Amino acid sequence: MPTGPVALHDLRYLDEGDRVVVGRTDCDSYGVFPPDGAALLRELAGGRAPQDAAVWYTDRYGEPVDIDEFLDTLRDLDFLSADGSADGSADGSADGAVAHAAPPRWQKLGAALFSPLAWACYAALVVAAVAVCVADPRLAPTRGNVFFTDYLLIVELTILFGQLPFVVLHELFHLLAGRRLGLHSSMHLGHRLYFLVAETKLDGLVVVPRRQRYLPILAGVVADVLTASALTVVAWLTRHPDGTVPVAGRACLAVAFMTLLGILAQLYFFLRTDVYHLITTVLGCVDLHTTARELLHNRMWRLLGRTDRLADETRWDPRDRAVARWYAPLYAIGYAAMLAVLVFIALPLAWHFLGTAVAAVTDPAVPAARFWDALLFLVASVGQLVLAAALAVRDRRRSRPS
Amino acid sequence: MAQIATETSTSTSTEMKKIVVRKAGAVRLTRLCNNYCYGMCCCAEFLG
Repeated sequence: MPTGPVALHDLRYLDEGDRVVVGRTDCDSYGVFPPDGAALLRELAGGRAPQDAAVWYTDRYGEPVDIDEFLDTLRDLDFLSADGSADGSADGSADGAVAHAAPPRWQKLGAALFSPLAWACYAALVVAAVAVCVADPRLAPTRGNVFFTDYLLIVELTILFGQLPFVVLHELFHLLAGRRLGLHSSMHLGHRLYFLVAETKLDGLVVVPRRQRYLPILAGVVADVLTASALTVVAWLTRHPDGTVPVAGRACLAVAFMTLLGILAQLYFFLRTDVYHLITTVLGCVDLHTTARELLHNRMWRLLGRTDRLADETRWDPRDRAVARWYAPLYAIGYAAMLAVLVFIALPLAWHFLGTAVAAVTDPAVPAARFWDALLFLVASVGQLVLAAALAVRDRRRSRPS
Repeated sequence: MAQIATETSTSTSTEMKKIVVRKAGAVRLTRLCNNYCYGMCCCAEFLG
């Protein structure tokens, strides 16, 4: 154990009454401490040597604390600087012993994007979109908008690639809403079950007061609403003098409809979409998904008599444990439903397309264009499934302890 | 000082309070890039 003060990285604390969330926003390492543990950590961060901090703890709480194990925990969380002593801190100071992290880039852009003026512009855009839909109901979002041309190939490519910039915009809104709060957010490609997802890593939200988390969580849906609104207004602007909408305008309406469908897909909360994070924030949970998964696993292992495989339930947060009682069945049903859709609908349809393509190849009477349409669609769809599977394998490899 | 602490820790480790620290959950905000079923159903209808 170090005899002098230990050097700690720059830590953020969020006091939530019966627990204190502490972490480093520069490398996204966070722990949920009991209030007495957080107080002890503050003493160490304040420059008190571990031995003195242990004595302080005994005086304050009336019982001795295992300070060695506590230091090990801090080390596991990467809260201690490289050598764990104050002399090794980034700024070289022995007192205070805090290594400061650089603020994230684009913080000002994030602030501007969610300023009152920006919100006024967003509101005006949405009002304009609603107004043009009322004036011309043909612009309103309906399923038929997807088929904006008779050429299926064009429909496929537009839906596939036309959405991509707006998927990025959705994540960019999350990212910048996080940067606005000083968090080091980043964007990645991931998967949920067999769905390919763009995701923004915003782990730092756990040390932000709950009322400030709603904007970063909902920022993506805000971007989707703005996208659909802007595309609808553009479609209206492209109208011919006789009121008909040209193909470019109809393509905008197709992408707008798919973007709105993306908002509905957020309701798959069991896939840990934005709505999942919204629900867990409202309910005050810490890690509901992991708790629910472990709860289900433990039930299964108990049924099978494999008690050696049980997860340690003492590590579950009490609120997560309480919510998981009703969330875990929903989570299981949701996953089962999605797998049923894959097995009973998506894969048979893919098989149907394959059959269509093979029939087109073997039947000289079928136009070649029709064959290529079906084949390209199949390649695009299966390609996404394969990519999702590859990402799942990658994530599994990364999560394995080295 | 360090020696005393080590001895104390060893001899009374079972009586010492262990501070349980839980890992906070990851926050990954997402957007599904696709909706396989919807796309396939539409195209199945379109192809007939």
